[in-house]
Amino acid sequence: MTRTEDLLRETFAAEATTVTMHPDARAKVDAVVQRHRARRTVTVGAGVLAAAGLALAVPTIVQDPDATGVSSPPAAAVAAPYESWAPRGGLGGDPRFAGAAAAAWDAASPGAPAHSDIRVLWADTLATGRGAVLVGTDGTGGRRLAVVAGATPSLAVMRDIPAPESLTHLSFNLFTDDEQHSEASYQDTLVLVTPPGSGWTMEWSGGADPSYGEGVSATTDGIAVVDISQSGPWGHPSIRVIDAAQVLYAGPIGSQN
Amino acid sequence: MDGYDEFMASRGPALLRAAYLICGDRDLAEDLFQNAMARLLVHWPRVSGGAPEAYARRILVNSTINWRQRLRAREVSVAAVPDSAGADFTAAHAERDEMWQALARLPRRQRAVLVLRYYEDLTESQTAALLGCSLGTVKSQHSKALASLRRPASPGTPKPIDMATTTG
Repeated sequence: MTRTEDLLRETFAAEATTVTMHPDARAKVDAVVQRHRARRTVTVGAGVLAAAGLALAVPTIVQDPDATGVSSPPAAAVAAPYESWAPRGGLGGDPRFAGAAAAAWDAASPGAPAHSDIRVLWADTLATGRGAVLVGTDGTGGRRLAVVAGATPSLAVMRDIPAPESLTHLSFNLFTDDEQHSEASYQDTLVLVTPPGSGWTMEWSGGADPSYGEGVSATTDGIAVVDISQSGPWGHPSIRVIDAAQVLYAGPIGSQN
Repeated sequence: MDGYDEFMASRGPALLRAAYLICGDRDLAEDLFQNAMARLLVHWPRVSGGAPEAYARRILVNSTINWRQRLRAREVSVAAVPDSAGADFTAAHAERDEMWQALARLPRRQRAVLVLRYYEDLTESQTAALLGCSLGTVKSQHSKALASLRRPASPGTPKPIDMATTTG
């Protein structure tokens, strides 16, 4: 044990005695819970209204933006035909995982024809599990886009939406729903998929309390992944997608809102 | 809720103190503590049968590390040095004060590692599990933090603490 270590113990012990729990701490906790629930209600309501407004304003561009995780192209950004993007992510070139993800996608629609012409846009193993973004053709011939994720070994479809023709970026949170968190998982994982080589970055902030946030993650190969603890950002996190100093998108993380 | 109040009364103070030691600000520590305890309350039916303290500590420590001052709306004051000795500010107090100021200059994750190791008395493995990182990361952060504390501060900052000496 060094003198520094001894002094650390002494300092922590001395400082700790200067802090006491407030007598009405329990009441304050109740107030936090109530505030959170109220904010969440307002957020969900506002999201529905915003989605309705967007759908009316630009129906040819946005298809159910509130539920898709596909963000409407902001004025300054150029939407890209993403189906030509090469598979990215640590599992992007793994045919076994692609097969498992496709099987999970098919299994989510029992009785429906299997998806065909499936392409992997992104797949990886993250702190909270494995995830993949797939595009494929359903039984009616329509192109669809899905986010499949789960802790090993199970995979579940988190989003399954009509595939837009173009987009600026994909964003989603693999584990926003609290009930999907296992005891061993204490993190949300925010994922941003941008055009390859875009160099864009992502910032996040807490949906209920913006004093939490914002991790900034430089994209590598157009992908940004941010793990955030499951504590501060109650409510659904918001993100900003930034190109140099220009904010391309600011709004809720896509797929879970 | 069954058992929650007892848990908060018995373990709350220790959790609050840990948050304070990591962030260095009493008001902020209280906010983070309340948020963590609220989070725990929501999940209490699910976690109370397991390890609620570990759950709460993990929430609290990680949220404290994640908190970003630049996004915070209100001003955050620098933690005041306890005035327990009044004018009789002994050398021991001065030494601890210097250490406290040196700790304030550390990245919050490094500081969290030190709090968990030297205040909570967690092992390196336990610290890694709580922070959700590898053992190697904890060792590295621990080593860097101690090196920083031993390093003289840059001009304009409080003078450095004494170099470490082996005491056995």
